[in-house]
Amino acid sequence: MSSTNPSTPVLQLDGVCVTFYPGTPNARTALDNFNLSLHNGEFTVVIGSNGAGKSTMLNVISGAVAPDRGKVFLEGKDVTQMPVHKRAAYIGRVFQDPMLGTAPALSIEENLALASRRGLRRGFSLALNGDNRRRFSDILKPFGLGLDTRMGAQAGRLSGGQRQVLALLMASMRKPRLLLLDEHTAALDPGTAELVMQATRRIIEEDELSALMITHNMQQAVDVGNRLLALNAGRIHLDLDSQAKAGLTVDDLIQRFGTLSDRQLLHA
Amino acid sequence: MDTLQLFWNLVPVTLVQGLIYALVALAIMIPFRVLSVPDLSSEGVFPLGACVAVALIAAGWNPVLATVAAMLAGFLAGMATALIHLKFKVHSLLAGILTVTMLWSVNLRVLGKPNAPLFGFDTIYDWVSDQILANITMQIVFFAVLAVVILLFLWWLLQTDLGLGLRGIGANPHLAPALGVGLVAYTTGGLGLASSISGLAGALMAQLQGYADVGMGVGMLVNGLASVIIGEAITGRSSLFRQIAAPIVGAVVYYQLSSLALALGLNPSDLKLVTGVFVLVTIGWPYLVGRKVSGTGL
Repeated sequence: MSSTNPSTPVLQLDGVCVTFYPGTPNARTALDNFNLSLHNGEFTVVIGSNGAGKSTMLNVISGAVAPDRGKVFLEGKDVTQMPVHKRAAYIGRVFQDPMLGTAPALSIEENLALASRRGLRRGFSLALNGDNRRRFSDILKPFGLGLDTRMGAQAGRLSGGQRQVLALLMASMRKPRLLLLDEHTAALDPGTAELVMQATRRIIEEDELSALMITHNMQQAVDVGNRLLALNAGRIHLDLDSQAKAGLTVDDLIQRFGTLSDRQLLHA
Repeated sequence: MDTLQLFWNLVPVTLVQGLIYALVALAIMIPFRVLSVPDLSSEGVFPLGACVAVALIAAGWNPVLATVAAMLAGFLAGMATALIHLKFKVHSLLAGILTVTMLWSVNLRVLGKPNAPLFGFDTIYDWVSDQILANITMQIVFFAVLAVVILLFLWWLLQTDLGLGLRGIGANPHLAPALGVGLVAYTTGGLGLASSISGLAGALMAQLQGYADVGMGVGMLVNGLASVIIGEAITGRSSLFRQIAAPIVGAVVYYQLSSLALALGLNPSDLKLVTGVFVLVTIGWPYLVGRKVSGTGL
């Protein structure tokens, strides 16, 4: 993406409304006249109870869900009508399910090669060659998981944690304008979750990425990021900037936010 | 020994047959294994290629151009199947059946009648050599070289960024759009490519046998599936090259086995049942011997 005016928000949601099953008894308003501006370098943690609208918000941003009303802007450009694969040029996304973020039948290096063309035209040059194999090996080495020595192994053979690390690398390797993290450590054991979280922080810091991270883990919400959004019933309940967020404890958060879910209590 | 003699005499002709139908097997394998979008429309696309080629040659077209046109017609048919599947949210198997059904009428229109001969017209083989139509060895070489060329082309294509995008859709259709791979464009292109190979096979067969018949495709789906399954059992699927080679190897073997079965006295009308049973046994063998089978089935 060419350089834009630094004051243009990376992401803007204007009056976004999403209702599932409208006009039926199951009708559920997921996002209610939702407004959000995310600026360059903001690493925003998003919390909220189930049904608060967090995943729907990410889906509206990525294009997986079309809003009933309202607009989505990426770097000042109206992308509301843009399909997922075109928006992918701006966005890197890591899903909660480790199975969804990598292609299991393809090898580690093929997955990385696929991800390395996000946002670029795919043509007839060979996807893998000496140069990019070296690059991929260098990207994988720092994680100490030995993935760089088994780049020809099928991604489906890796453990959930390894796949999630790979998914994170795939989503972030081309410095996306916006990184969307959808509870990406929730399905991992505590040790692996910590590893992935550290990797996430390192990547975001080093590449100065803008990111939106959904989490149910209150400790993560407090430790990570420079902005905090708490969602409730499709609206923003709480929006803390880096100053307000610094020094927050989990107890503070629970007190200020009020509504609790069982998962949040368990992680507190 | 009479039966074996009969089989042996037919081996070269059956080899040519197997090599042409290997292209149809490839056309079945690509959507099925590479894109994970099964497309069974070869029963309609193979005769489409034949009818287009014969109709154009009879109208005075250069046979090479007529064959290319047959491939284009196949490409369009593949596109139609893909669009029916994607835009109308119809399962790809049903989309393929719809395409075959509609092609029945299209083929009749294209040819003008149920079958048409090619007497007195130059075919693509006349461009290759004077003697090839009479010389079975030359035919075997021609079709073997063609099969190898297509094999190498596909092997190269599927290793390019574009080809990796296709394989990405097959491996994880959820992830592919998130990495910028447009499902509609790639699926349409992939199914179009596969069907163009079917169309090519039809055009080559029609010019070899000297006529096109709208019913030429009937039953070839099962033969093609059997070819893919047998081929995969022989070569395995451990590498991209093996996966692409499988339908070719399988078709050659399958048609020889059919020929052998017929020579041994199998009633031709029982051939389909035996083929079906053979495919089931080949797929089901791991389950029958109690081996653990990972991933989804066929």
